[in-house]
Amino acid sequence: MQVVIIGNGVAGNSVCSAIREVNQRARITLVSEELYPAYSACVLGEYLGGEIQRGRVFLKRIKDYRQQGIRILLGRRAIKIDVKNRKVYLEKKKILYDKLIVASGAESLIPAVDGTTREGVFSFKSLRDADRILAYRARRVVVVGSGPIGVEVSCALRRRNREVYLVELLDWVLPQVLDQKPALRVQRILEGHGIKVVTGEKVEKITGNYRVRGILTNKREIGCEMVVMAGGMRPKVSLAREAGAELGELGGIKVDRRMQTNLSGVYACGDCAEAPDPVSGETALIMLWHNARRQGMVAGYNCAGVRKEYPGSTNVVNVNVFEVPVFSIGSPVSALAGGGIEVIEKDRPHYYGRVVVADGKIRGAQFIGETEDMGVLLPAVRKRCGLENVKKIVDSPELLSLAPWYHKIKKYLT
Amino acid sequence: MTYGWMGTILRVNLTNERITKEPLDKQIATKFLGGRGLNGITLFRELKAGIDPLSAENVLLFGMGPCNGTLSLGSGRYNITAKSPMTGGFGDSNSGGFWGPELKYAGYDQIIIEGKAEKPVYLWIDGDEVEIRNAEKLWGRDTFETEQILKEELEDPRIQMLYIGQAGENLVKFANVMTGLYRAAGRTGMGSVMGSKNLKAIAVRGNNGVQIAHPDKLQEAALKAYDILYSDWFAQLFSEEGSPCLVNIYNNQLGALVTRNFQAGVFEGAEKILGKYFDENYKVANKGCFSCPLHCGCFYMIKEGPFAGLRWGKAEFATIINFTSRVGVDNIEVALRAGILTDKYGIDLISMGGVLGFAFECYEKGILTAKDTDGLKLEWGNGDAVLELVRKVVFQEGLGKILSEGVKRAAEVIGKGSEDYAIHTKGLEHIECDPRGLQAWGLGYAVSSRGADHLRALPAFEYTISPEKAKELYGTEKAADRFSTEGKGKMVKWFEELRAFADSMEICKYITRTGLLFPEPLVEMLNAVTGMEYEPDDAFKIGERIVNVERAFNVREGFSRKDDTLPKRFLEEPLMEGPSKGHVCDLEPMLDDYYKFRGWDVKTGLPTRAKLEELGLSEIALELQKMGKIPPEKKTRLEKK
Amino acid sequence: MKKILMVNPQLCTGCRICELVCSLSRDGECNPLKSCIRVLKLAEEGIDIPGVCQQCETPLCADVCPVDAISRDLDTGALIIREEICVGCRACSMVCPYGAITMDISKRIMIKCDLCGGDPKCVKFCLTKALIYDRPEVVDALRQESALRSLVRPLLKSREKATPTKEKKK
Repeated sequence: MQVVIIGNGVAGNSVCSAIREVNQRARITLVSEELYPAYSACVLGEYLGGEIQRGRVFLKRIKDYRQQGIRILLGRRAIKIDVKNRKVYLEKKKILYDKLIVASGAESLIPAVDGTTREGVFSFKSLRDADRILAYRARRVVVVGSGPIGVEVSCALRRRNREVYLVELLDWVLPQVLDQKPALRVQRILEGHGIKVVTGEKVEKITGNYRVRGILTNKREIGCEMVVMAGGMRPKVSLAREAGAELGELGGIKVDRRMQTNLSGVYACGDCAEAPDPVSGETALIMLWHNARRQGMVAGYNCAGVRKEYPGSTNVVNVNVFEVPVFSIGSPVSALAGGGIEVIEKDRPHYYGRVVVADGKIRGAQFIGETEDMGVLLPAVRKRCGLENVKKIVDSPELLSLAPWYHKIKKYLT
Repeated sequence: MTYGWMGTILRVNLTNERITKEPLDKQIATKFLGGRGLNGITLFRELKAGIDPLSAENVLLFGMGPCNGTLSLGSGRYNITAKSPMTGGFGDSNSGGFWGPELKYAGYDQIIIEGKAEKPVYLWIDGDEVEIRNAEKLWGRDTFETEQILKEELEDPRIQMLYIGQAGENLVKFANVMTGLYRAAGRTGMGSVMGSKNLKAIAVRGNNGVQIAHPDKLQEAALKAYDILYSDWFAQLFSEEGSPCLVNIYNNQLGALVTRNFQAGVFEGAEKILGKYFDENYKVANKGCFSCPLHCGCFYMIKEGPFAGLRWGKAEFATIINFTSRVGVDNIEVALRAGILTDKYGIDLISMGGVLGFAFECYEKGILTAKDTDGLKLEWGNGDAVLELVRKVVFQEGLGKILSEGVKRAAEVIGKGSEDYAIHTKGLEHIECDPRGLQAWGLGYAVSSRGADHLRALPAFEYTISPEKAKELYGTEKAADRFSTEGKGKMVKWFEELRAFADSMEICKYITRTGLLFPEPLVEMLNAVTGMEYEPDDAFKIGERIVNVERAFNVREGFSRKDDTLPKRFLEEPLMEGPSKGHVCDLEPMLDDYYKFRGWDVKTGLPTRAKLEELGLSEIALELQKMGKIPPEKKTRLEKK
Repeated sequence: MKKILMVNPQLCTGCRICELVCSLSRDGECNPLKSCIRVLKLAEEGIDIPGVCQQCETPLCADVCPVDAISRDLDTGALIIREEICVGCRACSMVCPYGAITMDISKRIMIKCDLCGGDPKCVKFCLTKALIYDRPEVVDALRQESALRSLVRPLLKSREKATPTKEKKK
């Protein structure tokens, strides 16, 4: 069997591991646009901030692929898929496949404002981006967008002693992840470390001739030598779309619970795929590391003939803001429609926690400071447990002794 | 000093709110280990003779040993030391639980509390950060509520605390210090010293570990010690039934169970208070203190009747006996309820039992009447009166106020011959074992540095070993005969030293009671933890040194042989029935014997210069000499001539 | 089948020897904060619960690890954190439903139970058998038996009451 994987991220590599677990003989080819062996995108912030050495971002060495029996083609781009004849075209090369896995990931969303092509404008997605940002001389930096990546980049560059502005279009930082109150707390931490945070402002133009000289928002002008665009990600789907793959409402490649697309023999997984979540019954596009890994495993098993289904996933976001862990699972209030929303909150000098309950069901949780036992809430959020049911268990010593892990939930609910 | 000891002493002055950290003197630590020993020498040095125990001049010491917080067995203990308001002499008390280890993890070997806070405070030790906090909202709360409120305020289930209840606040002389809800540092009134300083609680959280010199050896030593421990039938019984298993032994085998204030040595209603009965009807689970393989703590619950659902984490032999046979009650539930009350109020239940027995007997003899007791009928067996009188003592209402001073002072106030029923030594009430059936225990009570106390010596071998073994250890087969006085001086000395050594390592006495008593396994653990090279004989040396320091403290306060005595009842009234029928405690010959072995002056009971100097305690010899308690050195006199 | 580590809270006395021996054998010091097993105490109820990694079949911690530091040891079946790779981001500890992954504060890396390479020290030192390390089918059988025994206890009690007192005394 000939398997071709497009993409060398965590999803693509998980596919390899899953196939190799059950099938040592399949021939696997991995095609990657990037020049490096697999690395972890999640720790690029740490690398950028100088907290870890560049070598530690890598997950594999070239010889590891060889040991796994995988042919790897680095710096090569797939330009076309011929579904009928089961062929992938690269520049000057074509490869036959029995199973094709599209794990092409996501790309930075660059907003349509004037000046994004000037020198000194970067996105922050790949190791190459990190290397380029590090090599570029700039005293002042504007980071556009305050999602997890924007916040991470800001912290990292601040650690490198740059003057950092963080500009957010919406009313508070980490808007997809946190509600306003915890977000303000994070903002205070950022500001305490000298990052200038600007919220509720829209970037309208990046100024300068050849190089960046500053940005213009709807309210002010900020002079700077570098702009990092961290306004979000979108799935990379053009290759699959052109081959006839159906897309979902959220813009990802539509797959079933076995990660199969509508095209025979073609699977998709990771940031580019949109899969049904059996718990909510809706499809979800979760562009997070753990989800890509799990989807990659499912896709790998299925194309090796082992039937496995994707169990669905939950948003889990973890940002380290100057050694203060910020953690969010499930949905913040702002993402939940309708009424009946209740917030159980704990506001302490060194700790903040809130559990979001909608229609009596636990739907999300956000924590700043102490986060060590947060995991106990994850199953509750995942399963949308009824608050009353959980309380019934944690308030009864007999039930607790049978299900001890519930005890740790107690402190968050009272 | 990287292994075992943490190397820091915390000094807190509550008067001027100054908090300082001092390095632990390595030489002192080597000579006294820690815990009881370290506290003893510190108390001797810190205090002047004759101060009022409940004044700001007294200091309150919390001591940990090198093995605390390690895999060494039963390493959850800590020692509280101060001048005792009960005896006016050396006061200390020891408790298990989880507080001691946590204090080690916070980085300290000892806390010295000086002065007196103006308003109620508690101490919050979060590793390096130490804070004196307002405790006004805790004042007046019982220990259970205090723990709940503080846990909520400090928001971490890991925090360990000790605290006093209402008894300590009200300066009831025999108030105790409770920790972790159920563990008590009961004796000699440390709770009232804490209360006199307006200190409600000490909460601790630590982040460091105790460094171990030989991790592998410690694991080996611990496994070996488990085997030794469980090879003893007693430990097996103990791990199942907890200390209530002693009811059977003392009543049925020894006939030395306090009954109606020591009027008898066997109790006719014993069947309903046996450990087995408790075990079958009330016990829910076995619970252990920190690092304890014996887990003698019995979590119990009353399952039926009007008090169904009442539950608590600890019922000891003492809990049961002090509120049953000591006052003639044969309903164990009275004891369980009283045990919960005394723990919540924070009062020593042994002294409480002594006080109750005294009051009940005075009532029987007509010295106290219903007029004195606000109508309470203190008739043997009246359980309701027991519970009500406990409350009266804690809140010092009516007769309770007189009794809250302990039996010695209560008898002085009541007079009319009630002194004969005040069962105490040096002002501290006796525990539940009648010394008429156990001669060495009698000697132990009499010479103990903290008043009538069984734990200083705890000569369990008196009724457990063979005559051959007795000859080997104490030079005479008679030492194994509990009615004989022969060999008991040496036996008590031997036990006192080992107990002092184990107390300073801070190992639980139930673990070392019989099985793990010999110094070899203890020293093996101590060496594995500290990396030092102690020999088994050093255990005796260290123990002897500690006993002498405590003795010297009491001598400085005016104690001498005349105070090493027992109540008249034990010396003159033979037991009327049971396995110890016809016996009294024949103290005087044992005392002579004991002083001789101790190297003390037989006539006065004072330590001699030779002994003190042999133990490296010349500073103490000098101080006693200044007070005229020991004669000046002969050599100097010769030179003067 | 690989052996599993099972916890029986009903037998736990709360002595925390497991915590001590864990940190002692891993790090040469006795420090509950460096232990991979932690006892949760509900003192008011007399309940103690040792919390330790369950070595999940589909582990969330391995999923979220951004550097793939968590992998399965094929000999023991334990999930192992490779110290040299871990960056201490806490992601794994945040998703663990058991709270069984914690940070070693001095080394700034995450620690979790590795089953001591197949000979768990905590089990060896647990004297009440609240911790059992055995094959799943053995563990399941033990569990089943103890559950059924507790079901039958009231019945036994009622029979005891029905027994004539004379016989009881014997």
